[in-house]
Amino acid sequence: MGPLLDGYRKFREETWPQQRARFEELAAQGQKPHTMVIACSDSRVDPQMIFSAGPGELFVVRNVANLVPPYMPDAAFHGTSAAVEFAVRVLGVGRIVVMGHALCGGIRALIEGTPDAAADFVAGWIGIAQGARAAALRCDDPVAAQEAAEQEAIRISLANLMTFPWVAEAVASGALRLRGAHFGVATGRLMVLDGATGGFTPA
Amino acid sequence: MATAFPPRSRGGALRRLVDGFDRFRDQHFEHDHELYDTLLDGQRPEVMVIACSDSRTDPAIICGAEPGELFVVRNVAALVPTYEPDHRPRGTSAAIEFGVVALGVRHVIVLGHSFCAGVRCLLEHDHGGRRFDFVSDWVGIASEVRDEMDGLVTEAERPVIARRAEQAAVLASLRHLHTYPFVAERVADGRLSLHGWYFHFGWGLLQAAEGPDGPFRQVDRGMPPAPAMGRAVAEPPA
Repeated sequence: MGPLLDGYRKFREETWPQQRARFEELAAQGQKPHTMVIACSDSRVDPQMIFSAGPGELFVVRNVANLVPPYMPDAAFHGTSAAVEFAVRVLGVGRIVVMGHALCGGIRALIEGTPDAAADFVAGWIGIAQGARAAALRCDDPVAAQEAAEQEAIRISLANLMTFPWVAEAVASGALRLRGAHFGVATGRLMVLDGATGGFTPA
Repeated sequence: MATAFPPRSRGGALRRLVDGFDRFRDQHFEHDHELYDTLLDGQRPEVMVIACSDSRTDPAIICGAEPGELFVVRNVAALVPTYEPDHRPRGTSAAIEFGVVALGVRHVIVLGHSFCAGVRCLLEHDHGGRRFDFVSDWVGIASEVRDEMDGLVTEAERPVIARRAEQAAVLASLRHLHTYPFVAERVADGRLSLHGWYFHFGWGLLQAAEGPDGPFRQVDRGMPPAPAMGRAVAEPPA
């Protein structure tokens, strides 16, 4: 815990004096983030850091393997769906970015199977991207298989987003755009999904 | 800091993200290349943070964390549902299992914050007259907080109740975390500790729960705050 509290003290001494006016304005007027980012819980892929975003800019969901389930209003506890609803219907964000990444442990578990010790929830959750497993099995090389599945899982999450009626409406009216991105932990490169070709190209 | 965070414009938002990415490559990736190389072997974070999706409460900014340090869940109001292994897709529960069981983190921090719209939704029974498909049920995870606050409504002002409810929601999430058998087991044998933190961003201050029922006290110089549950120094597995 020591490093975190040292970090907090640094925040108090350096970031807070610089950002104080912004935080106070954000406290008084509420948040108006322009973009929602759905990213992985992985400790190496903080979207705020990767996009050098300041406070108030990004509304962020982080879950295992940056997945979005399809629209299922069945009164169960859907944390990611609730966040998407809040971002689109209350905050009116103009963009949702689903950001996957290389070396994703959640996607690896999808390809190789979930360890028995973590079978209560992880297996059920990553099952949302079951279709991405097929993409991996078409590759001979394990590195290519992992990347193919990571990319396919992003496409699945984007397709699932479109099953939410108010997402589809906002996209149709031009008020909302959906984007897919993939961050290379080793390369520091961001690849962006090209809607026309379905392939990923450097940002 | 007007130069670092220029005014927003909706049309230029993506451009700003890409520019931000270029800054990240210059400032973090090139600078910390050695760190990123070691992270290629996999992540070994010691700390998991469950924080709110709110754009003003990024845990890495507040804690000055580096890549590889924090395994992060962000959802509306930083809530944790109770343990219900029903094989339905449960994102927060899956992340807790992944963080605690697969990665073996030693600390879990629930990070609440002031002016939380999710907690406000919870307190306003009718959600401002607007029925949500998902948000209403999600914030209902902490319905015990609403019951607790209902008794106070006639005695205190709204903002006071809101701040109290936000802190009570952190404590509710800690109690829910403890219903996960793999969490309770590790807390009992000293491998895991649970922390309840509250970021008051109007003031830029961090508070920590002293115990499972509070109270929240300001984190200051000197000794790090004791966890709300578990030992102060969580030990790695023997």
